[in-house]
This record gives sequence, C-alpha cells and structure tokens, in this order.
Amino acid sequence: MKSVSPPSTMDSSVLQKSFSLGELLDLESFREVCESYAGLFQIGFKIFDRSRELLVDVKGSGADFCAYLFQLPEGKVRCTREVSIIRDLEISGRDPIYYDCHTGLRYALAPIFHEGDAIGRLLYGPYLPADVSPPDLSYLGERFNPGIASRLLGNVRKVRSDVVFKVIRHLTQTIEVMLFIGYKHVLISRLHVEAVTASYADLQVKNQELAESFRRLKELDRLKSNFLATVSHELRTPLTSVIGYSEMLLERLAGPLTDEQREYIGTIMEKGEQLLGLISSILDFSKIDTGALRLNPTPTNVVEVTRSAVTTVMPMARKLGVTIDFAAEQKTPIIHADTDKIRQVLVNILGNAIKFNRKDGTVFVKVAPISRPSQSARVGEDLPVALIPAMEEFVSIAVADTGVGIPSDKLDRIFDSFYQVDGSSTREYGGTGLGLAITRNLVEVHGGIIEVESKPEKGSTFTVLLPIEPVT
Amino acid sequence: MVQFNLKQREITLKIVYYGPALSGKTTNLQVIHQVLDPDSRGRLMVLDTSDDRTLFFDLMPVFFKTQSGFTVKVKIFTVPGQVMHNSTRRVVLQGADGVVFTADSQKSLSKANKESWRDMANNLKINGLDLNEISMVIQFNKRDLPEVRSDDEIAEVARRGKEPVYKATAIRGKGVMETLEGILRLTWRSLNVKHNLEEKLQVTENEFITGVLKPSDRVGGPSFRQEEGDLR
Ligand SMILES: Nc1nc2c(ncn2[C@@H]2O[C@H](COP(=O)(O)OP(=O)(O)O)[C@@H](O)[C@H]2O)c(=O)[nH]1
Ligand SMILES: [Mg+2]
Repeated sequence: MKSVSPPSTMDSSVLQKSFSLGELLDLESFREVCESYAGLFQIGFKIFDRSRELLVDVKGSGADFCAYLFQLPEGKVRCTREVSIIRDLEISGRDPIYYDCHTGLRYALAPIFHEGDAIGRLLYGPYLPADVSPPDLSYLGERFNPGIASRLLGNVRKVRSDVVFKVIRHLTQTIEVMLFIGYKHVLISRLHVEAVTASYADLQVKNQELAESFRRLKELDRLKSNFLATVSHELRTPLTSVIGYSEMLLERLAGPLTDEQREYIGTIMEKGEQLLGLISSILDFSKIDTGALRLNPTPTNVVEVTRSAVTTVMPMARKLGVTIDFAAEQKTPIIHADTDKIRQVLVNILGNAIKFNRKDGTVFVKVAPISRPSQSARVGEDLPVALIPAMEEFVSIAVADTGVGIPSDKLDRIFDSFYQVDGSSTREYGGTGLGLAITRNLVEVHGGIIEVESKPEKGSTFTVLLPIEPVT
Repeated sequence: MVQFNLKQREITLKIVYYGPALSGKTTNLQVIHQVLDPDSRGRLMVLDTSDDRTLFFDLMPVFFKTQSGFTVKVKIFTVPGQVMHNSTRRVVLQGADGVVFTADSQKSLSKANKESWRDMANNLKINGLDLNEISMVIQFNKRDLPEVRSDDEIAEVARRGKEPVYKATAIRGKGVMETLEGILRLTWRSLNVKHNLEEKLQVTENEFITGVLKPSDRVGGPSFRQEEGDLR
C-alpha cells in the first residue's frame, strides 16, 4: 500500500518563532504592576520594545516638575530632544547606563532580556541624583520662575545611585520572569494546537488507509461471491447428469440390475443429491450476497407455509426420534412475501432444530401475530422519532428445540457466513456453514428479523419475524 | 534547522534530547542548567508530567557573543517519552541540528530504547530529516543502577555503530557535559561543512564550545559538590 506522509509543519512551529515584548506580556495587567512599582519608589519609568515602541509609561514624582518645564518653549525643545536621545542610546552588556538631562535630573536606561536577547528597554526616571546639585536653569528665559521650579523640584524623589541600581535590577528581573511565564504559556498553548493538528493529520492518513483497505476487501468479497456463483453453477451441470443417469439406471432403462448394483447406484444418487443441495445453498448465498436475488412476493399464508415446511422435515424427524409440536393462532394474517423463500427459511431452521436436538427431543413450532416497539435504528435512519410508528406488527414463527443450546459468546456469530459453533458440527451433521447466513439474508430481504435465544442444556429458540405491512 | 539572521548577526542551533520515557533527559537538562553560567543561559522551562497537562517537554536556551560580534544561540529541548505524545515529539524534533539519544542502561529497558529509536527515525523522516545525516550521539544513562548493560557491551556497540557513545549517571551529573560537548562538536562540524560557519561567523569550533559551555563561577551547587572530578 502506498504510504502517505502527514504534512510536515517544518519551520512553522512556534518553537522557531521569536516574540516581541508585547506579545509575551498581558499588557493590561503588566501596566498595573508598573503603576504600583512606580508608586512604591515614586519614580516613573517607560518601557519600549525592541522596535522602540512605547508600551508602558508610568509617572512618578518628577512628573510635575517636568510638566512645568515642558510648557516653556525652550524647555519643550530641550526635553523632546533629550528623551529621544536617551531612548536610543546604545547599551552594551546587562548593566544600566545613565544620562543627566539639562535640568539636572537623571535617567537610567537598562536592557530587558529574554532568552539572551535584548527584547526591550527600561527608561527609568527622572529622579534626583543624591550626589549632584541642580544646575542653574535661568537660560530657560524670563517666563521661568525659580520659585515654582524649586518648589516642584523639592517633590522629586532624591535617590542614591546604588539604590537606583538595585531597584532597576529588581524591576528588570521581575519583568524577565513575567516574560518567561508569558513565553511558557504561549509555547504551551500553541504547541498544544500544533500537536493536536499533527495528531489529526496522522489520523486522517490512517483513515484514508483504512477506507482504502475496506474498499479493497469489499471488492475481494464481491469477486469471491462471483466466483462462488460461477463455480457452483459449473458444478451443478455435470452433477445433474450424474444424478439423471443414475436415475435412468435405477429405472432399468439400461437393463436389469442385481441387488448389489441397485444398492450402489442408490448410494450414488443419494450422495449426488446431497451434493446438489450443498451446491444450491452456496449458489443461493452468493446470489443474495451479490444482490442478484429477486423476490417474487405473493399473498402468503404463513401458517400454511409453516405446516408444509413441517411436513417436509417430518421424515427426518422421525428418523432421529424427534417429535414436532405445531401450534398456530388462527387469526394470523396473510402477508405479502415470497412463499418459496419463506418455506426455504423455515425448512432450514426446522432442519437445524431437529439435527441439533437430543434423542427423543421435541421441536416446538408456534406461529402467531405479535406487535412490539419499533426499533428506530432499523426502521428509519434519519427519521425523527415522531415519524416512526411506535409499534410494529409482525407474524412470528418461533422454533424451539430441546438440544444442548449455543454458548452465549457464540450467539451473535452464528449468522455469519461459513461460521460453525465448532468445526465438529459440520463434520458430524454436514452442511456448509452457510445455512443460517442464507436464512438471515432471506429474512432480511423481506424486511424481517431473525433472532435467537439459547439456554445451555435447555435448548435454543429461533424466531423469525415477518412484517405484516407489505415490503415496499 | 540552523537559523541564520545575518542582519541581526545571530545564529540559532537546535539540539534535541530524545529517548524513552524516564531515561533521564530532563535530568540531563537540569544538570546543564546548574553547571552553566547563569549569564549565558536562559531559564530552564520544565513542563513535567506531574501536572495534568497534555504537553510535556523541556527547553533551555544557551547563548554567547563571539569575538566577531555574532550572537550564537543553542536551544536545547527534551521530548516527552510517553508513547501517546508522539505528535509533540515530532513537533519538538522539527528542525533539529543535533540529537542526543538518551538510552536507559537497564537491561530490562532495551526494548523501550529500541522502540524509541524507531519512533525517532520515523519522526525524523516525517520532518524531512535524514537519520544518516543528522548529528547524533547516544548516551547510556543510569550507569549507577544494578542490572545494566555492561561496560564491555557498551564499548562493543560503540565500536560497531557510527554514533559516538557516552556513558552517564545524570542524576549525579556524571557524563552529562561530556555528552553535550560531544553533540555540540559534531553538530558544529557538520554545519560548518554545509554552511561554512567558521568563515561566515569568524568563529572557531573551540570558541563555540567554550562559549556555549562557559561554566558558572558558582560551579558545584550543593548537590554536585561531593562528586568532584565529574563536572567541569
Ligand atoms: N538511578 C538513576 N536515576 C536517574 C538517573 N538519571 C535520571 N534518573 C531518574 O530517572 C527518573 C526520570 O528522569 P527524567 O530526567 O525525568 O526522565 P525523562 O523522562 O527522560 O525526562 C527520575 O526519577 C530521575 O531522578 C541516573 O543516572 N541514575
Ligand atoms: Mg522529561
């Protein structure tokens, strides 16, 4: 069989992809963390991703002072220029670098790492360095008010540089842990999808292979049935001649026979007829199997058909010492069915009930109309429940024997073609193992049901249910 | 598949630890994590089976900057050994440059080793990788246990096979770094032949190895101190 490989997801895996800061963090909750961090130290900060996009901007104690300077024309020019300079400063290594702005306030810039990549940067500040005294800001022009400025500057948090260093390290580490967790979650969820997709693709391939082998098996099965039909037909023709010429000999058409000759020819004829019976059943089976069977439905009196089937098997029953007990309800309706096929079914079941009975056993045969709840699975595949009649009417023919019974684990298989409860029964009683398979098929083409119940050592009951409504 | 990013002057290699369930793949990675310099490796991500997850694998990145200014990254993965996780295994194996097959030395697990190997061969094939071309070393782990395949036997299979074979007791840190160095060298050489790495990146094999395997100055965390000589 041609093997199909599932599509490879080569290089498209989440494991190969790199993520930006914003993709790894839940920005909403990350901003909350940043707010509280800024509140704790009263120092604001900004966070940029690798492409310098501003993700977080939290204000600290320097905000009012900066805002005051920013509304002065000269202040605005200088502040704007400096922020963009600071944002883009080169950082090499892991340690922060520092930048003092024209107001004397200080900023620190630190990289944020993820898996060894500087995936973003933290711009920390402004804060008032403890070791620097604020410069003269009079160059900001006459609108600059040193009084206001120094009052606002007084609110700006003053910090020692070693403290800043520690705070920044702590903050970047916290962010890096959040990134790690975010990355972990992205990997878990996306990889899960990838794994499920891959499994699905595998199953698709397996399904395809199964469908293909199923198709081939069906084709083989069809070929087998055709073969059976041809072979049994080819066997039947010469056999008919064997039987016919034996018959002619027995009728002395070729002259008188000695007793011994008559006996031998009798045996040839009997065995020939047995063989013909077997071949016919194989032919029947293969016809049903290939759908070549045609029903010829006519009004059928099931009670009469059953009676005639009982008559047919009576000699055999007598020979084996088995009694047949026949009972029929008189108001059993006439149904529409192929009378000959129904008779064949009953002869087969009765024959089994006799063959597999104990010596001096009884076969109970009962014909009666019954009604029972519909089995929707059988009645209508896609029909809503409301459209299925609650009860179905059948004529039931029950055939019970008093034999050894059928082991419960074998019960569902006895209708399978060629199945024998154990190989020995074929040798002892003859038969192809096709009888019940044919029987079931014949019942089912009538829209009927065949059921079996069995109690070990008590016997088995085969029940044929034929629908009273005519087959459509 | 080695990823080049010449613009960012970066190269990423992928090493995968493959093997049957519980052979010690995660333990290998834990040892590597402890031994390497924290500045040159990322966090160890362990998704383990004790959680009620459907996905298990471990991941740890290692990185360093070459003198020529390239960033070299090695991403080390382990796959989940359990049979049912085949598709995760296949996804993780995708694009591997080198594979460490961590076998369990216990005799009773020879069959599990073989099955895992076949499974790997199949998954490599599906991923478009060739078992005969990919860099591969075999590690026989759990040498400390009784009822393991003998040293002679392992020496014999090592002689017969083409893959370099390492012995390890990962739980004590033994043989882990040797195995890693082995697969790194093999992978580097093979990529060098294919992509002319040394010239492109101006990096020698030895710079690569010492860069990736830079030990922590804190070598010998508490659990390793008693086994001197086992660790580099
Ligand atoms: N005795 C022994 N046990 C080991 C060794 N390496 C790992 N283990 C144990 O084997 C078990 C499975 O290891 P783990 O690394 O989780 O296996 P994984 O499924 O391959 O990732 C754990 O209980 C480890 O402690 C070893 O060298 N010797
Ligand atoms: Mg593991």
